[in-house]
Amino acid sequence: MNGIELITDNIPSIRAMQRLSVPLWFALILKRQNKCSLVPPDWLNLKSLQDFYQYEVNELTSFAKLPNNWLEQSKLIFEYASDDINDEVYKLKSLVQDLKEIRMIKVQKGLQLINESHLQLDNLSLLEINEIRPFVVEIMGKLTSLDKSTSTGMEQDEMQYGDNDGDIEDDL
Amino acid sequence: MEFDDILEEFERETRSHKYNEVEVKRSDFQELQNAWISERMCPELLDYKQSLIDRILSRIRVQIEFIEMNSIELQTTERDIKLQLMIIESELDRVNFILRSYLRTRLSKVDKFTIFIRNDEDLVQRLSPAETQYMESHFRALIDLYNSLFLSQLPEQLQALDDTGGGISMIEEPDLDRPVFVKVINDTIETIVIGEEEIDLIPGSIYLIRYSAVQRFVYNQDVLLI
Repeated sequence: MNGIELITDNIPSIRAMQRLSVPLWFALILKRQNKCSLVPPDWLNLKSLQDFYQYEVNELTSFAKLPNNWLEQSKLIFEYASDDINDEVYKLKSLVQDLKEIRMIKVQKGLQLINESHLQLDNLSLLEINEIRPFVVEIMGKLTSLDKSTSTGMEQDEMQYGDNDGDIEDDL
Repeated sequence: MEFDDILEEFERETRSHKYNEVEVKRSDFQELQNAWISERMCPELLDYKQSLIDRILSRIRVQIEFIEMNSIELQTTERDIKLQLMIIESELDRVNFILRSYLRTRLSKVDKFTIFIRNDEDLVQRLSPAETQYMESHFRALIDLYNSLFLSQLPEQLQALDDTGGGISMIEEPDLDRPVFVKVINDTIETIVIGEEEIDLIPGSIYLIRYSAVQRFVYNQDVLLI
């Protein structure tokens, strides 16, 4: 096939039996037409997934460095290109599921640490963040406003029903 | 200079030009994705990415022209062009989706914070000319509607839409204290202080933190909203 100039990239001309790095969506179009086979990413095999899983089990306070969209990638590859994977797909699938679950449990444990100022969540993928986003943002917003109202409330108490516009520092 | 040298140089130049073009395209797309996600996650309206959007739009136009030119003679051509067209169309859809969502997100914020934005010249500067025009005419239409429906029946001192008296402001403002997820890109020298806590932002890390604390880093793109 001849090269194609796209909006976000240029695809070089493609010949048979050639290894090439292209965007995943593009590879999937070719794959669906049986025009190519996919080379799975280097983290998507039994060995590295097991390593990642071990890491998640051993390290209780941090997350393994998986690619930013590993869940999406693995789902697409399992769905459309499972015949290109060298390992047994069902084992990989269950490993990915295990990884997903143990990470979610760790996130939920980590949420105990939530306070009104901040929370650090390194190496969490976008999908996992979006999974907890509605809940966490709501709770932290509430904590923030609670924190504000208690601190201003205390100030007001000490001012003994003083005028709102008064200088707080002086009264303290 | 020999003839071959000239040819070689020419080839090198064109090749490096091609290479750069790919780099620009990729980084533009990355930037568009970042702008889109940031806009969706940010409580306030961010700067309009004028030059980026212009570049993307002009590339979209080229692709549409290509599709139109080639689909006319589709009956006669072979299958290769069909596949090519399909690839170009699906990419077009992908880019269009992000672009639309980006612009719509901005418009929904413009709708929500119209009065707040109109009161601040700096904020109006963040809009594109088309967005400013939209905001003005939408605002006009809304006021006309309110007036003809019920505002004219109310006592005069209650007719204002931007009343801030009485302890409650009628002007809707973005909640800058809302928590956001950010990813730190560059080293930030300053330490963030919230209450009694000091927070150092480490590059590569992901934080959940209130927007007001990282606002200035979002502006200069030291941190990315995700």
